[in-house]
Amino acid sequence: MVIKRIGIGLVGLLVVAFIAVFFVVPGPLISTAARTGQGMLFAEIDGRDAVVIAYDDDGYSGFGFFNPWDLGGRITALDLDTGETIWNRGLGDDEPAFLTRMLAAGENYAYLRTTFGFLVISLADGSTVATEDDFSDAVDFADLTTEVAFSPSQNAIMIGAEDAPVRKIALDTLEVVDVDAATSDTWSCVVAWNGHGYAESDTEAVTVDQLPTGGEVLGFGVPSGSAPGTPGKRLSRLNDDGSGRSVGGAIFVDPGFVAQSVAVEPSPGACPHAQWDDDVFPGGRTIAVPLGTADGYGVVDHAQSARTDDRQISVVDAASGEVLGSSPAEGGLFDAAIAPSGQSVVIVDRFLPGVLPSWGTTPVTASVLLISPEGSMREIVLAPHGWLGLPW
Amino acid sequence: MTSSTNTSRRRRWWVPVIVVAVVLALIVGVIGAVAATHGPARSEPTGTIATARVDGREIAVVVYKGDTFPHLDLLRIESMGFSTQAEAFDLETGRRVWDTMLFAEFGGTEAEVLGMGSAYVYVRSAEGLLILDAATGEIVAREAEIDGLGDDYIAAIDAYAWDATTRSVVLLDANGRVLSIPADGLAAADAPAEVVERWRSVLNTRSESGSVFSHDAWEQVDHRAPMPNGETVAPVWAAAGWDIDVLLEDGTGLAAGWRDGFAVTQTYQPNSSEAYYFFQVGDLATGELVGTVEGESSASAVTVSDTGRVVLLSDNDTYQGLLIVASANGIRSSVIGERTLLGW
Repeated sequence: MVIKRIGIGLVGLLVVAFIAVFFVVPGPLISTAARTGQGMLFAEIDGRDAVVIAYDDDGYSGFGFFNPWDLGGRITALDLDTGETIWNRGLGDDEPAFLTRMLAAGENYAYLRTTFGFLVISLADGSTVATEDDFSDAVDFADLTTEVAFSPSQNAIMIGAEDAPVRKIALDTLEVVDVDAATSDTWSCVVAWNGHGYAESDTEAVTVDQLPTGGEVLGFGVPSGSAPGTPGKRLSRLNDDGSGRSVGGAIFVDPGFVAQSVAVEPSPGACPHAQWDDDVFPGGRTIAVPLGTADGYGVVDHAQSARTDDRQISVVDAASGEVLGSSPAEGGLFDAAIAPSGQSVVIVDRFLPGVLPSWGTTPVTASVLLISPEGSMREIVLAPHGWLGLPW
Repeated sequence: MTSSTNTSRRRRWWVPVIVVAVVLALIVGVIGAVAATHGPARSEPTGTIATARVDGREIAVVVYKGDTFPHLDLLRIESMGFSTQAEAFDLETGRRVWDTMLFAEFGGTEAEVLGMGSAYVYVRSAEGLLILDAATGEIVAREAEIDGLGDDYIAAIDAYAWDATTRSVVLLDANGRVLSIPADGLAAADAPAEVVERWRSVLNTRSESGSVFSHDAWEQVDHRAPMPNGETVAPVWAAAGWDIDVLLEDGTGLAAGWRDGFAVTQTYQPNSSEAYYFFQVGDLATGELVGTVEGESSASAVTVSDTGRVVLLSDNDTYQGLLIVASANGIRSSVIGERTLLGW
């Protein structure tokens, strides 16, 4: 009898454990975890200034029994003024697309490169207008030697492929056309496999030590009388001799001004004789443009305190040093850009564990900070998941 | 009929027991297979050693990064087997005195021992300062728990240092003050003026964070053993090898162990099938070889204890750190972070 009871007890335990593991435990552990693609695009959609962002939704969504939400690569358009989602769709028709690289946006179309090919997206609703199959007569986008880059001066996506001349797709068109000899001499080595093309990491956000604004230059300095290694720094108005005057009383630990890393166009006609990157990009591939300089504010990336590496983004008034707003960014700065309409967009990595923090979750997720020309900040968390993996 | 049914039921009672036994056997089998096919838990010591006499015996404390993956290790599940530990060894016997987990984070947390007295050990880390009981290894206070520092502590390894002149921990707080904790003290207070002068521009000014898990002592070697009278002694006891170096005292530049009439050599054996380095003790007066141990990497953290023992770090061919202790009577190595078969 004893053995019988033990046996029944063990079977019961296994059944309970099975139900718990597959149906109960996942709920609290479901997490929000998204990673944005490289770059972001700006467009006017239905009269609204919008930022278009692609992301991979990697959040743990339980075992998928109850989750109708498409995971994988997605793309969304956010209203820059209100933060509202204008549209949000899965990327790719037949198979999901990941690690999206945002190339450029015209008035009607956005052009993207993903691990699964080349996509053209309608800015009106996020639907896929064309895939690489639609260009297969002209370009083999599946070939790893095919490289693409955006040229602002040509207002086109420049395309290079092994043993093929440079071609382009003008924005808002779906036609691949040849370029003239001069344009080819400028771009052939930039869109060449293993050539002098834009490095992907060069287009991510950077921080700079100084913020030029209103005819002055702001920086950070150790409060007077403190040891050089004091972690907290004050916003300072820098003089020509390198000295500075404190602006406001706020203290920032390990600070830097957030800047957009803007790609520079290649030197005209440099490719035929180029041996080094400097021959094509004499001043470097990118220039750093600090956010807020035109509007009198600075965006500061700093540690939350001297006791942690967790980061924070704060907007400070350049004239008074007043902190206009702050948002946690535990995982740090990821990307930043200035919209043509004047708003700044900063993408950071947040730490958002599931309902119950657990080692089973992946708590780092992308969050979008929309900063108005007045310096007010609004946070939009991408791809949140609630109980059973459903969107919040 | 009834008897047959009862027999059938009795047989079915065994089924779940057998299923559970098979599952348990599989788990044990997997654990055993991992233990049998993988090397022991790995350990990587940081570049400093502290020594002191504690409760009548001389001990050395070293901080190391441990990695028990893929062994079963319930203490380090979240960190995938990684941890940062402090371990104390009896310098007379080479036996472990205590081993304390300081951090359990994936990849290991940057930390190293700063110094110690007869009561407390001081460890600096990327998370702040830790004070351990020198006799038991128990963490007495860490980071914000330290009196006189509290929430003003800085989570940066470079904000803490050991001032050998005053035998005290010096540290920078978040407000830019230089504080100190004397050896065997538990509270931080404003440092004396001369200490502030020495350290004010040094603490927390490292431009790039480097790993403390990689140190060597190539600046602490010479091909002959320098003596205080200006003479040098040739290490005739050392095994023939590609390169023979005598380990030197930090500070004086003299042969480590000269006060007790011995010196320690490391010999690089590029063609050795067993070890790349031989660490050997030689009698400076007679030139006789006293003892030999082997290691896979060159010596680091060469330290001379108060009783004249030369203590240094190396590692073995299974990626475990070694604490090597040399004296006039011989040389011995102890495995740092040694675990049982299952990784505990």
